Amino acid sequence: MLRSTLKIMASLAFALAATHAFAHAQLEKATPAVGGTVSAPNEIRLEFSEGVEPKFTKVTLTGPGGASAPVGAANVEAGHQNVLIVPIVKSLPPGVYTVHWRAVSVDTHHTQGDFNFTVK
Amino acid sequence: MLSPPRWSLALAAFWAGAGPLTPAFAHSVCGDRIFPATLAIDDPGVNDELALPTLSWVPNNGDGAREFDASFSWTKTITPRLGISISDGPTWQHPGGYGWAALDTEIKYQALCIPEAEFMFAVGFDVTWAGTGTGTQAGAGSQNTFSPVLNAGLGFGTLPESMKYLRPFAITSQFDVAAPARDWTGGNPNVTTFDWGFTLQYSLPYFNAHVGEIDNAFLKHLIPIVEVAFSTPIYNSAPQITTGTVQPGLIYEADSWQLALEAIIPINGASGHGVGVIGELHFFLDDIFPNTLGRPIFPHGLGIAPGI
Repeated sequence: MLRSTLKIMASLAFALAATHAFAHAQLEKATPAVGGTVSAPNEIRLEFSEGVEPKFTKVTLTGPGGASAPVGAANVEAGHQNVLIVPIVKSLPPGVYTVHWRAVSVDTHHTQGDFNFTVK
Repeated sequence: MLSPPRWSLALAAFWAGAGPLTPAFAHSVCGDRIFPATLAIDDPGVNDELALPTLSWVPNNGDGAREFDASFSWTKTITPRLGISISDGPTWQHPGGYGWAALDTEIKYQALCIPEAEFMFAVGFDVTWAGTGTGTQAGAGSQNTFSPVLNAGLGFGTLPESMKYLRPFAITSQFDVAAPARDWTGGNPNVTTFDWGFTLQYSLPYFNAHVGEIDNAFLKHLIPIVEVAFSTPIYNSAPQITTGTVQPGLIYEADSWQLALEAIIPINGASGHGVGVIGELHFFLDDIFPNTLGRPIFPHGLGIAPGI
């Protein structure tokens, strides 16, 4: 039985090594940084753990008082399916802003989240 | 002996009380929260996953024996919110010998997910099958044992901004009653137990995505965790001593797998002596094989009930 178990584990390890595994897209890094303080940014850059589908991925931005801050259409960075770029349409006045994102990875798994950053 | 975790479960759905339903995802994703697979109790979701192997060692299992356990658990979704699992594995005891644990199966329904509250709830029914244990474990499986199970999980992501550093916390819980099919076997009582446990976890992946950036590729995948699991005899036992373990440890969560390592600390002499250890490698099959093995057999459900 131990031998069989080892064979199964070896097969799984091979499968993991031999194929690209898709997964739930988790936010790895953001610019402006999660919880960070920046000068007025002109875009939001979200780096996920997996490739995302921009057509089905939604990013919104709310500012002080919950007012919506307009953003442009989301696109993936050239050559990096896991990096989503969202242009900020108008210069952001100082305050705390919240980014809400809802991502659909290339294998259709949904994930979502939100974070704050501060414009000084 | 060290009781096998009650999270490997069973065979008959339990749909009563299902509340308003929202789409749910594999390996226990609800709203912003991803609940990892845990070792002492089950997570509150329905998944396509494989735990292989789970290895544990305790220096004294309460019966005076060193014990080493190896096991696997495979969970498979039938529909998006209905799944089954099968678990088994061998045990070595010294003194004592070798035995293969009784086969354990469960059917589980994810009844509720409230994304805004990061709250999810599942019900299941577990059966440990008679006659499937061998060697030192043969007696433990001389009759079927039936266990209705409740699992719940709550993330703290709704805490106010002033408490943002507490938002990565989450708790999960499990409650079940393990009832043998017969009260007596060969003149010996078969004890009915109330099994209950909790986890308290602090998700650094959640911290990194919601609270503040962690500029370390390893740290931002860690989830420090403490699990507790208890078993209280409630019928056919005297004295009624609660046994259990406290299991502090760490989970490393990658995209398609996770590795968990925990200490096993018995709560009293009846639970064992000395500190043991348990580790588990866990594969997220829905992420590894999203279009085949890792998807529900009926991905759009059967139209029987929400998510089924």
